[in-house]
Amino acid sequence: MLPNEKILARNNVKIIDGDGPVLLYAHGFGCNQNMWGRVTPAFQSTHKQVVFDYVGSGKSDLAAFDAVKYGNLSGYAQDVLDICDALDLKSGVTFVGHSVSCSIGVLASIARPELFNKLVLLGPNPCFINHAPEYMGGFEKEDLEGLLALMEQNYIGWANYLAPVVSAKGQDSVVTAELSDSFCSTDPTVAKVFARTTFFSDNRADLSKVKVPCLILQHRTDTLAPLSVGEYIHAEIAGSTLKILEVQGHCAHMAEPLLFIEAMRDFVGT
Amino acid sequence: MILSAPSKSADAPIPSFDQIPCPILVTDSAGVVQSLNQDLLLLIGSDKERWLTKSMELMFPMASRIFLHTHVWPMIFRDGQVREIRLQLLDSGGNSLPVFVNCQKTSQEGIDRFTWVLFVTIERSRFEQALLESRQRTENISTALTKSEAFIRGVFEATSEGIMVTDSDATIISVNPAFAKLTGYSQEEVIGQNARILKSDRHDADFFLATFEILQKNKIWNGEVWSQRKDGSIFLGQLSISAICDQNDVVLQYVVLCSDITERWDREQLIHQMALHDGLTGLPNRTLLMERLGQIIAKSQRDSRQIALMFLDLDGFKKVNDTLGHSIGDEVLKTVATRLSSLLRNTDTVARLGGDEFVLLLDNPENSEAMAQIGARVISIMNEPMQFDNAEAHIGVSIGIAVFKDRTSSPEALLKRADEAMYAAKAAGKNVYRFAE
Repeated sequence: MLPNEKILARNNVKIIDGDGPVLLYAHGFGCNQNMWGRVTPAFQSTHKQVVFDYVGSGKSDLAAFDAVKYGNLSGYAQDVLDICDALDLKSGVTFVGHSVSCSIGVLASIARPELFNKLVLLGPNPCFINHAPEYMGGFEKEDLEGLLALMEQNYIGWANYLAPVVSAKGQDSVVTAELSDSFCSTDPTVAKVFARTTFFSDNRADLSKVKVPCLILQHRTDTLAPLSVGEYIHAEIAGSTLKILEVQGHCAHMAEPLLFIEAMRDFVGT
Repeated sequence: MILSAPSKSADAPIPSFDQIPCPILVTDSAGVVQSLNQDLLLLIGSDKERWLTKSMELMFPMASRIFLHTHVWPMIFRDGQVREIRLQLLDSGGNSLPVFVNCQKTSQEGIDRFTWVLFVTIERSRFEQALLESRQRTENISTALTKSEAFIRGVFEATSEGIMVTDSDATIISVNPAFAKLTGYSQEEVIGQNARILKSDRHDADFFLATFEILQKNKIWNGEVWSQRKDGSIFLGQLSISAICDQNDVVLQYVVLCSDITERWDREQLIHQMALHDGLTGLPNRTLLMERLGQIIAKSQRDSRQIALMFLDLDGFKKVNDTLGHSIGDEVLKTVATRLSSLLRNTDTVARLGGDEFVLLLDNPENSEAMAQIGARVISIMNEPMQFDNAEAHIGVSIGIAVFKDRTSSPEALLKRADEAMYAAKAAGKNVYRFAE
């Protein structure tokens, strides 16, 4: 397999053909590329669209997982750049990121500013942990420990409690394989690494380095990315646009796709 | 949707939303509460009006809210439903309760609704926790067992002590390398054989019967057993046999530990021999003489047999040493030993007390006359010249004879009387015998 094909397989890259500039969609933690399914049809006639899964999510190649590389958001950002290179994209890419992918897109655009034309950041949060009093990301470390415990229970589940004790080693993958379609991330170990990387990263200092036009889309009420965080990002990224979507929750692209599409259209053009 | 549960019987009442014994709520696609039932309100407190238009995520602690937004909602948007998601629910007291969550999306007139059923699993979670802990313990035990099995296996393989495991019928199940080395049988050769292939003919059936009885009673037997190797040679094994029993005391297996103590036994035999015999002539020494005398005296208590001691002291031995040298002197002593031994019956004992003193212990001689004949015969054979390579030695012997009469007398007293009679013989001019008074 050629290196490019390897990368496209590793990240399960899918291209939705269309004439026009490139929209590259990056999903958030806990999701996969399917989450863009209600958005992409709106741009089919005006854009070439690229969706993919991060390693450990969706139908990506689990064998490519590397706990060190993906223990840092720059590892995921590198994969975004790899995908652009594999598709021979040189410039003019509009990066559309959800949640943690906003930070990943920010890192990718700083590394290769010539590649990106614009960034659409849906529900960004450069640092989920509170650093009172100057910055309130929304969470304390204990909340994230609780999340990891919940992930453990939900990913591995009841079956694991009853699995044969002695032969249980190495069988986790068998058990989770049966659950493979229940969650967008299929491997509990990988998902936990992604969770830690997502929630313990602090990319606040990177925001001011962004030189690409940015659209910051905040949800009206969003536990994972409070309005104050959107304002913080808006202040840090010079020339950025902040728009509040009248949506509760963290997933406007799924809950209210029309609102999201409309906001995107205004920014990227039709 | 909840209220439209079908009922076959027209009379059967359909339970109302609030009568269903399970917390239920309905939200819009943003999670805003549109309705909730009594069972849920009882759990989370506050009144219904205060919850309507609020986000349902407020019913959950922070970790569950993150999970809702990162996992649950995306799945609902993808699949239209989720089943059996584990979350924590905040009750009115602020406690986190474990819940299973199901959600189903329904659409009516273009409007999506999401019906949530929360199933509190306090008891089930406790049970799971107990199960998890017991699983952890089992895993720990299993790990420890594996380690100790490896350890025992290592000992089994590496020890120099032979180990044999048999079933209750003494059929060999397993032996270690040391056992194979000890017996000459390879592991393949003995496994499946009966342990009796190791039996030598040095023990009678009673011995094994007694061993078996002790083993039945005590579950362990320690002792020494002469066993036979594959090549037919025998060895003395120091054995420890343990019976492994089930709860009902029925023997499942025997574990036999065996070390070869043949060399030690040989050495002990040698030491024993040396302790009781004279190093030069090989004759019994004073200790063994007195032991045998004691035994014969004990016998005489029952059958009133005759016992006589002849105390011999060589005449002219010092001259042999002085003129022919000590090595010839030693040869003379050995010749004396040989001649005396050839003269006596098996039941009699010839002992050397040291120097040129010998003692004959006669077991049940006929009478004084017979003793006198023996005395004369001893003098006669002692007087015969002794030929060596470049020398010829001549010696005589003075003999004191004491007959055991007083049943209460001791071996030492008898020896003393013989010694005194020997002096009387010396005084009488040597090379004669004298009876004690």
